[in-house]
Amino acid sequence: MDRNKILSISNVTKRFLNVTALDAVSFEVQKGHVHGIIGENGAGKSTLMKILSGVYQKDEGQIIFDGQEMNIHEPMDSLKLGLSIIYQEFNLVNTMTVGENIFFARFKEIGGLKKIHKRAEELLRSIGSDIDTYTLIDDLSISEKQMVEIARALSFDSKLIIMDEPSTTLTTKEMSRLVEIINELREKGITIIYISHKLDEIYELCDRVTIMRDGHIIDNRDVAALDRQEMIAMMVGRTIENEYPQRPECVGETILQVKNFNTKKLNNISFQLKRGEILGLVGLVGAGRTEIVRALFGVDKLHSGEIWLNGKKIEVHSPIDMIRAGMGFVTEDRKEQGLFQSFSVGQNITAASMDHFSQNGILNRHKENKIAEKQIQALSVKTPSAHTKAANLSGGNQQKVIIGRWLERNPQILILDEPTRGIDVGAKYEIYLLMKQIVENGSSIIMISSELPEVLNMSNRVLVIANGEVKGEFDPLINDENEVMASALGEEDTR
Amino acid sequence: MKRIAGGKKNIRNLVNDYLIIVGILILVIYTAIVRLEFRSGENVINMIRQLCPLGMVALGMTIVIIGGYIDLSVAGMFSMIGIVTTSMLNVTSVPVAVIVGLLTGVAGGALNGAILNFCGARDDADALFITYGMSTVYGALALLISNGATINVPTNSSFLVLGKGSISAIPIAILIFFAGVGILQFIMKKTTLGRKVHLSGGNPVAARLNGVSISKSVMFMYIMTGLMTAIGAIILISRVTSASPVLGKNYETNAIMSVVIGGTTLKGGHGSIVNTVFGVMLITIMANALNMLGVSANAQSAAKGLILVAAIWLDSRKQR
Amino acid sequence: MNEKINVRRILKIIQNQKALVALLVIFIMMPFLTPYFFTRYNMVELLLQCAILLIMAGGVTFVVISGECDLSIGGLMCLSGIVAIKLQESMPLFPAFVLAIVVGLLVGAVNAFLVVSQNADGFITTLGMGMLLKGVSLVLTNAHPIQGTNVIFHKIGTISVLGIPLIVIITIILLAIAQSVMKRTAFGRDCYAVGGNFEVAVYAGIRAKRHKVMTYLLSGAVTALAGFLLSARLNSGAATYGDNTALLINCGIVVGGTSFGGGIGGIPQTILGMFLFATLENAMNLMNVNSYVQQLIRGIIIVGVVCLDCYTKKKKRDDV
Repeated sequence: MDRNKILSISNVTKRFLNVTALDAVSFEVQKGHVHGIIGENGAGKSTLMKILSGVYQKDEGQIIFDGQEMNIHEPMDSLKLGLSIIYQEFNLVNTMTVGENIFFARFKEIGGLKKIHKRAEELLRSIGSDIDTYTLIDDLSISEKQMVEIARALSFDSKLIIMDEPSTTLTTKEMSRLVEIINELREKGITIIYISHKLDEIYELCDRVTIMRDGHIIDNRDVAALDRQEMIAMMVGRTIENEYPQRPECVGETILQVKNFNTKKLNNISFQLKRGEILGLVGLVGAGRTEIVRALFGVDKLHSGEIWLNGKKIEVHSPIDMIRAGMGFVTEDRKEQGLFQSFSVGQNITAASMDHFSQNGILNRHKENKIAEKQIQALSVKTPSAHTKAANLSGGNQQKVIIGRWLERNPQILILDEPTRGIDVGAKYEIYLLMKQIVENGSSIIMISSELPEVLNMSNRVLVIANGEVKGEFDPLINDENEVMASALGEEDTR
Repeated sequence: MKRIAGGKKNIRNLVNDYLIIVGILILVIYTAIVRLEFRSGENVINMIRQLCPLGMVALGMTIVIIGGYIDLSVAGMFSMIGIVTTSMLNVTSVPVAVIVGLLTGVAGGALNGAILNFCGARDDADALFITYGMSTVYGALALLISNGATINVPTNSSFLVLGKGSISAIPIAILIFFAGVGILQFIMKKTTLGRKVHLSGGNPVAARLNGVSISKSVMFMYIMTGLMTAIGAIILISRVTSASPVLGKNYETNAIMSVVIGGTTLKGGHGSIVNTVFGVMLITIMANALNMLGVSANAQSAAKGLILVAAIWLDSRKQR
Repeated sequence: MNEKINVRRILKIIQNQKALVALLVIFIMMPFLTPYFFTRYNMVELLLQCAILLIMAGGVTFVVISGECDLSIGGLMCLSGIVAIKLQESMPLFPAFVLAIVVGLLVGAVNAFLVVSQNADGFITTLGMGMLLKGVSLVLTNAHPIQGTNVIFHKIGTISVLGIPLIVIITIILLAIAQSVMKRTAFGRDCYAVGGNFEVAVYAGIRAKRHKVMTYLLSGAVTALAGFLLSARLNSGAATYGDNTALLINCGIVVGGTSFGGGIGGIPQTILGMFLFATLENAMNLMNVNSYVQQLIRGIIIVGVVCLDCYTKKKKRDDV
């Protein structure tokens, strides 16, 4: 094997029951590179990672790490060989301290609690972090937790560190810090595999990139020689010309006024929403967008603030109040918060509108089925029947079911939090069309999305949220992606 | 990712669902063959009467379990209601005593619900300990009110007809039970209230976001359990003509067993009242059969414990 | 930022020392309420009553910190004592002792199988096991207490060394061992890891499932030992000794500062919590509080403790 290659993967295949998650995947990573892996959800990135880290076992193929064939059976094996992974959700125990987490389960090796904290401190300082090693993980910010994870990877003398979507939850400053650290690590001779779906980061950081789709490697290219359109085309499988429908232009008068929302995270948030408008909320994860809509919908406690709907002030104590007032909320996490997984599609659709098919509290099954069928048709939900368990549908169809649930109520205002996350490109387009229909029928949409192109193409107006405040307001017809991004990253205050 | 269907999984499901039932049926058939008295009309009527108190409690328990919670306080409540009702019977008219008894159950259930709502108990883990503690409280109240003594129902009281009486050979008690089954099944399957309980049990977070008031559902569940427990207690003391302050002993575990064996899962969200009827029947017939076979009360205790553990085990296998 | 963390830590410590404060309050109040509290006889009695519970609590603490639950301790405690007594009739004491411990290990193994391997809910499963074990105890003793026949057996339970009962000495030694295992061995630290975040523990190479199995085995063995000592002290075994024990011990653990969620707490906290409970019982006895009232107070405290735990969780949440 080439001395210069730290990792060489050949024909690795992994199957789960009937599904092939990885199909004869092969590529190589050069020592000292920052190697990107890009692909949509379901491309196979996380399966590959889990095989490398020992959580899953490959069915076929060969992995050679640093000149030796890798035969690992559990996570500790790969760590000992010098391969660490920093997961998106972090692998930390909240109830333990920083030091204990870095040297998790290695007390004997290091020789006691005091030594652990000392070494942990050394590692943290070496990457420029000033965290007190006696702090509980629970009390750290996301970026600080990432530092702890990196310190842990270093504590294993890792030669290869894999980072899984590290930037999803960082602020600008934190992201710059991460970039610095990655460059420092590179200078130390450590190889980084950087997994992301953000093209900009791949271009900024990586020397080489591997593009994956549907369990296959599409190509491995030097970043400098690859242009954006080509990269997208490879990720998606076709050239996207009409990724988005034509932006709806039916904005009317103001119907909603949010005044001075103050919650644990929010700081004097005020904004308006007009009839027939799609209002986009942009910002980095953790900026407070979901908190705004949760407070609006009556889910989270409001410390202070007012909501004026159609010129009248309304009191909000729980979601029931807002549902009655004509609002709907499609949550970010459809599995945990949106779907009733073990219930049927029909029951999921009718879950918020029982009053539509009941009289005096008694349900009318016949009417219920009709409503379910109506929405299934209207939204083209692909399901064997209304009685199929919701869990059996694909992500895109599940999302449609939830949207259908709210459409049944004909809401005046529909809140969509990351409506196309985890959905394939074809289904995304259908949802954009739906959104267009909804506003053209006179309703309004508040849309939260982390994909700037999506927000800019669909919204009539965009609010940038950062650190719990409204940082700026933009018109997609006038401002472009860079200006909005700059604001989100905290570069200017353009209120 | 596709889901698999058919084949191995179905056999495992079948075994899980029916293992205990088959076991009990075998026992029943064996007893029917070996002991003539088991099959006698008198014994059957007896079993029917025996079934009712537990049946009522199990009906209430079904609702709580479907809702994603659990109620371990039924034992203490049962004793307390028994004591209160018999005490009342000795100083006032039958209708008043019965109403007071029912209200005691409702009050107990309401108190349970209120405490759980106040604490923000979100799942059955919290409810487990709190209701377990409440059982101790209610049991203590029963002991305090009766001062540890067993109170007798006044002789020749019209009250006794509830537990001992029949309408053309059908015990009144079982009529009450089936009325309860009918009403509760209707509520759970055909009303918004029942649907909301199902949704709360299936996914409490999503339920709340969709406008279901979790606190209202909790109150409903626990009040119903209290009410059903009260009816069960009244039927029992009517039949045995007295109330001891530990009358409710083991009712919570028997009720849970009935619900789980009947097919409702402890996880919540799914299940039905009708299923529980089968569970209760099985438990009652089994106890009767064991008695007929001369198995000691102690051994029966052990057997019940074993079945409870087995039922829980099989239920957990269903979830995998 | 460091300052903010320090203040937070101090507040947390104060919150965790609620039990200590409560205990101090009681100790200060007692002399005013009864002259007998601080007598040497009473203190020794208090320690003795506590001792058996402390041994069991020490074992269960490992289970709770690891994020699981063991409510079978009541039934097991009775069973092991009964087994020891039955066996001593036909064999020397030491083998009988060993077999009693083996019973504990077997019970622990079954618990572990059901909860860890089969993914059953810890609370209800071990609760069921406890009932099963009590049932078995009833069968073995025919519902009557049985007497020990080995003189040494009884001596172990009643002898004092330098004025301190042997049982108390054993308790102190075992607790000291438990504390050093908790703080200084991988097994002890793994409890916090596995209880703090199961997946993370697995990814870090900890055999988390196996760890949980070990905690159940430990709890089983330790409980069996406690049961042995209890029967030795009373020179008898009965199926009723364990009623309420599971509830008491688990609540004592929580009162002291170990949480059911897992990942926090420890032996000192457990000792504190159990001591508080035992002192309360002792005080109530001395003040001749009606035993029914005692049960009531016990129930209220248990509900109160769990409610408080729950309520603090609720306050931390952001949602309505």
